[in-house]
Amino acid sequence: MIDQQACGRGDSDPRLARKFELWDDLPDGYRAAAARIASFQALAEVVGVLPFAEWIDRAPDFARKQMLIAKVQDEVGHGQVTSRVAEDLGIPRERILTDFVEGRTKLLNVFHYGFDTWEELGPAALLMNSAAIVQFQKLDKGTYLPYARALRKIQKEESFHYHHAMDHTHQTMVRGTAAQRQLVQDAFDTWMPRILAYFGPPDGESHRDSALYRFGLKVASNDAIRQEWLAKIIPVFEKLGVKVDPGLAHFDAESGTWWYAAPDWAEVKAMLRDGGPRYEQWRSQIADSLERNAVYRDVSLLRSAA
Amino acid sequence: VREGVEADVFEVFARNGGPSEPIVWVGSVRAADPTLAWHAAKEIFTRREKCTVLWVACRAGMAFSTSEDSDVLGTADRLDYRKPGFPSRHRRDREKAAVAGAEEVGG
Repeated sequence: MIDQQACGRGDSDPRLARKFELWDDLPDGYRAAAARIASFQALAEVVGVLPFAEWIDRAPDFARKQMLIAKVQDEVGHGQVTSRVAEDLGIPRERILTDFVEGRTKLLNVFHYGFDTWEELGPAALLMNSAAIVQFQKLDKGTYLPYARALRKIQKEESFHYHHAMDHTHQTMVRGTAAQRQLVQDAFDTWMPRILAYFGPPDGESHRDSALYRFGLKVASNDAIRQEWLAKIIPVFEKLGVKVDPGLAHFDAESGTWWYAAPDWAEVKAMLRDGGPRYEQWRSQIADSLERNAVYRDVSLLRSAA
Repeated sequence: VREGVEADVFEVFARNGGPSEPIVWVGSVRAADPTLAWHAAKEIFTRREKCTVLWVACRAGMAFSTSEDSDVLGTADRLDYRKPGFPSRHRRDREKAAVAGAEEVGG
């Protein structure tokens, strides 16, 4: 069973008792750890829109196009909000992007891919959004208050994205052709293992020794979040009419936990190192955008540059 | 107290809802001047809310409490004569004394 502390629940967890504001005296290493988590998320928010943005001019109806544009704008806003947290801790937003463009920071595994069909976008977004929501619900109990506040603002909008993805998938399952429904099924089978890997390696002996965990910046363990997510999302897909292969994930009544096909961690690691199928495209898009918009950035921040 | 130094950071305040709602801090944006900051704040912080007031203030023009100010700020424990319970307690004590006095006289 997953213990209470691994879930980061309640006030009983001593790691989460002491909270910090921006200008408080921070323990050694805390500032760097908080900056890392905020800048990592800022990058994920900004790069994470690219697979969606390329579908804006392919969206098959106007309402979907509007919802997709709203989602992309929301995510860029989340990038702004989380980079403000990172900037206040000493990491300028320009560096978040240049570190990525120049290969110094890695992307989360799910952002190394794109969507090959419109039907794939719905279920993939549903899996990703639900994973992010479960994660943010834990992270906002963390010890760095400016980050926790940013997450609470972000969560409200993530909920909209979740409902959008749900509606999109539902539409395909209810109104789509057999071929379209199959694309939803394929998308689930393809993205499910990716999200399982997204939560990170299983809890080891040492997961509580990591700086992020000790500082209470990482609130719950990888396994605790993954279990909670499985319990939430599997019934959602089953209700949508997607078949969940027990060989991929199923509830094990005996242990009271969800069994899932363990990702091939060596393969995941190799992809993070070498870049997934769309990595280079996203990287060069951000690089081009930085270069193309340099003049606007200089003008808009003229006073601070002077 | 700590004075803000960043001239390109603007703290954002919004009122979401009716005129009697408080105007509260919602976050910050980075911009070169207050008008650009206001527009950035509008894009980022008023996407779903029923926002009726939006203000931005340059951080360089603000002062902020730090954890060292908590004693000065937390008046609840120090200045109990400012709380309604303080005069009420006096009144109750007086009433009790009056009752006790009356019993003594009557007895």
